[in-house]
Amino acid sequence: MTYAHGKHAAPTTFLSKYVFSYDHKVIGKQFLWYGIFFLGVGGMMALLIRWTLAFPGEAFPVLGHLLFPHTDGVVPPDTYSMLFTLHGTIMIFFAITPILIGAFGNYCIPLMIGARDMAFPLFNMLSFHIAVVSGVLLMASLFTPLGGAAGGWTSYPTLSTLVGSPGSGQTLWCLSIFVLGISSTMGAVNYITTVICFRAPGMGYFDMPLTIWGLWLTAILNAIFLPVLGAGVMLLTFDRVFGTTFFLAGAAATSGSGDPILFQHVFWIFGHPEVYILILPAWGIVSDLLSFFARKPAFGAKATALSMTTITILSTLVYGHHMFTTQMSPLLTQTFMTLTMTISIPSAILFANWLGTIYKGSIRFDSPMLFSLGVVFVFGLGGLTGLYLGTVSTDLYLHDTYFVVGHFHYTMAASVLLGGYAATYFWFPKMFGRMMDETLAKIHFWLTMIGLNGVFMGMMVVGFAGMHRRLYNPFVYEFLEKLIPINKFITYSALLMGVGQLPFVWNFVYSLYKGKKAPQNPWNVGTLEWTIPSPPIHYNFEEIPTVKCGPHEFGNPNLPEGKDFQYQTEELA
Amino acid sequence: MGFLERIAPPEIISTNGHLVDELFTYTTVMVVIFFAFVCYGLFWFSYKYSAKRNSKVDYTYGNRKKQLKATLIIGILVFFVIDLNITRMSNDDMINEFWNFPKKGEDITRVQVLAQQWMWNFRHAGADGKFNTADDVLTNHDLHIPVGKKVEFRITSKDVIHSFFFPNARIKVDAMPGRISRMWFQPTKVGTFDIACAEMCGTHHYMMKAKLHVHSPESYAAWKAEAEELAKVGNDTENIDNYWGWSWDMGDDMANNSNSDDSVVMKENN
Amino acid sequence: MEKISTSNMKHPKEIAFTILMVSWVMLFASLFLSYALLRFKEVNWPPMGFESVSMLWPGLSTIFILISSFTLHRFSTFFNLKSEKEAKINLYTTIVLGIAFLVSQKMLWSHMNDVGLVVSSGTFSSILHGFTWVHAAHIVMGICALFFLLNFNKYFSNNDYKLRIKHISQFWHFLGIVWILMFLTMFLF
Repeated sequence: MTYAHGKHAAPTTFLSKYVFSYDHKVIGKQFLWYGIFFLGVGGMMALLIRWTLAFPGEAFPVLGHLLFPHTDGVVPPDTYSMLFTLHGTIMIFFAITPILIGAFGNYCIPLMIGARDMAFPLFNMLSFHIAVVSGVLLMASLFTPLGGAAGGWTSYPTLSTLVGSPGSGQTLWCLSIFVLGISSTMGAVNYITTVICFRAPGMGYFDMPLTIWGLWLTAILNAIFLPVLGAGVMLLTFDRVFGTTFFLAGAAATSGSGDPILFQHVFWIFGHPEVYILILPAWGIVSDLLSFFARKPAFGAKATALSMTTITILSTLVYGHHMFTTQMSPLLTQTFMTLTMTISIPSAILFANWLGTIYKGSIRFDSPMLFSLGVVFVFGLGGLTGLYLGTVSTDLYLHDTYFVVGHFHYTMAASVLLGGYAATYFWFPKMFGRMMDETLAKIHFWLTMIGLNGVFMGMMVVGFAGMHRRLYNPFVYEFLEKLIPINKFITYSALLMGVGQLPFVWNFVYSLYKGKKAPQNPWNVGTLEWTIPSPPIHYNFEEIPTVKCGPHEFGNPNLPEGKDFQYQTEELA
Repeated sequence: MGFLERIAPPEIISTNGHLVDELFTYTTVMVVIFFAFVCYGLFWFSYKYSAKRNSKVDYTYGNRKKQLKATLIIGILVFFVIDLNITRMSNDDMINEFWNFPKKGEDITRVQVLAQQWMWNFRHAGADGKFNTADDVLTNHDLHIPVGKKVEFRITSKDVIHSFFFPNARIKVDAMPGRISRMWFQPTKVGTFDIACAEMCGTHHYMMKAKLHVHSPESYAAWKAEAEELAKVGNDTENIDNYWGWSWDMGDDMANNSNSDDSVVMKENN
Repeated sequence: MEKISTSNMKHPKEIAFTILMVSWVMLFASLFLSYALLRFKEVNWPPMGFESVSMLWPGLSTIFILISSFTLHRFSTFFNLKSEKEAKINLYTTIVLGIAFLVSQKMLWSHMNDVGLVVSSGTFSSILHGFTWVHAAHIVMGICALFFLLNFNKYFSNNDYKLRIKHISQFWHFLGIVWILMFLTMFLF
């Protein structure tokens, strides 16, 4: 509230404008391209995985012979392990994180709180460049002699130590994650400081759009818990490179033993908050968009913000539910089970507020709204199926089956993906100054929605039938043979979902150059980024705006005829 | 094969496996009811209050006392009606059944399990009733147990983490190097079933399966007698690798708590 | 950065540095957590067959880092008094003590190797080596940061520079505290 950036001349050369730019808008777009690239890579890996599961031993069409010439186009088992490891790693750390946190965090935070830039522009630029280094390290691991990391994205020792994965692929994976951790921590420090110090005059914490709340809480979790992961992968790297024995036990530990479970503790202390790191921005965006397109103030905005904060705090206390099968003491197990269940109180409040927002609204079904409603649907399913996994006795059966895979894809992949698309369709006009095509967007929505529900619902079904995860060929087990048709159905749904992304790619690229010119405020929304031209000028605001009302002022009966919203810079009618 | 039959979980062969299925069904009913409310709101409101049908919005922040109370009540109802209920049920199941391990001296079948990449090794005590002696019955890939009698497993791993999974008994537990974990169930059906490794353990994780043979008491006795005879002549007492077991009681102190000491498996080798 | 309204809010750099410190605290806290879990798993500590490390080098390190914290504190006091000469002496002493700390760590590592506590000889030596590496790496970062203060005499009345000194001092004292904790838990008891 106290500080604002001075103005400098806009950069002119290509390098200073697009590569070494300090401008948060450019860095946001850089993260967007980076994330979309990795989203494509991770998505292709998902299709390879799905193909192998539905048609074991059959050559992958078209690309198979190119990628796996030694096996006639069939994905070999060791490659399969690398594929699901990298699919997980890429989607979590290199696709979702850059798109939702990197791109929309960078782009939206200063614009929505009325700042000219992030608190530390240089830091911000370095954060992206370090993320690129990390991406290069990860891709390089694929080209090492023994191939990339193959121990799952959780990389539990001792499988991820030299006992289970020799070769430098896993080491590069560790380094890549460590470097990415540095990048994200730098970003998080920037976000938190910017939100604390650079809110426009008059903007209290509860006058911030809920998007900013989500991004801010995410940044806080990032700053606190990424170092924990950093410590974990650092010790793992020591084990791999210098021969320490932190995580070695059993026959491999010839002199005194470490403890592989230690890594699981450290990993999930980070890992559970990470789940919320990914979902919080999406929650924030959805909470805002539901209000924007229902043309009605967000129902219980303060309660929503506080629920998100409560979940942030609770998320740090429940990590043990990932480790029920390691036989912790019964007392710890019961504690974690009960704590896990408390998360449903704030989650239920979130849902009540979302539905309260659209209740008695005047809903416009533009594409961002469709995707937001989609998030409410899929997150409902994802959140509720968590109940089965938080209860110990059902978890002992369902743990490490496809039920878990379906559950976390509903929460982390489906919700976040739909939330990301909602944000993309919503802010595209502001980012690039052009509109995206609505018809294509709606086709994209329905194909994605049908595809992803087919995939993830199917996964939960085969999971309950007992199919466990990370199997190259599940059908070597007799009791799983009957699931082949359902696996085929899942794969077809995945293909449908993959095909469904083509309209988006076309729409995105076409609109970038040929789209209709966007007006300053195409959605008639009152937050600060819509008070300036699309795309915004260098340094965003000519004059730092003064905020006089909340972000969700819609349908106020005192507004003049023909106007149903007001800008945050206007006095409350 | 009908659809429902196709997606049904494997048949239950233990005395307590049905508890998992029952809790699953109960949770499903709760989830469906709650999700029905969400869908009702989502679809009905979307229809009723679309811009076409409703242009006049209700201008409210949702922060009136009544509205806040309503949201809070929803949250707390969900917690008490759904969550605490299933937590209590699950806890009862765990304490009465899954954590209620057979007592010392009870007449049960005892098996030690060693997981390794990518194989399951099983060890029955021989005629002397002691583990890790020359007359132990060693099998791999095949586990033989009698029906109707509790069987307790003490499980460890030689190299990486595995997970010992009986889909038919609805239970699994991790096999961890340096620790002994344990599990019990009481088989109720004679037959041959699958044992799986549920934790990613390397390239051939998918091949790491074993067969569970549940015998009638007579047929188990016959198998055991034959196997013990074979063990007497077949076991190579010189081969140190055969002595991966431990005395059963040693597992008592270690099982189910995190105190493990240096590398159980190796100690027996030295 | 221009100030557009006056209030007693903290400078953005101070807030950012506080968050960074939280991250570092979490990093070292995770290491200590790992250490605690590994240690309490064992019945004896150090485990059978290992002897405790001689106190000579860890003790010297402790003395070096304690005095360096003190001299760094003196440096910022003299900087605020604008007395160039005293400030300079204290800053140089701090840097030299920092390097001396690194040397004593190097000696500690050689000593451990000599008595058979090589990196790969079990959890006990893994912890001693691994944690001192991580800490020493941060000391190197700290010394690099101290070099950034060498031309302090040009900035006596620069507020931003005062913040820089404050933050680097906080970082250095933090590393001192971490070392004391390591010394107490890993070498002394």
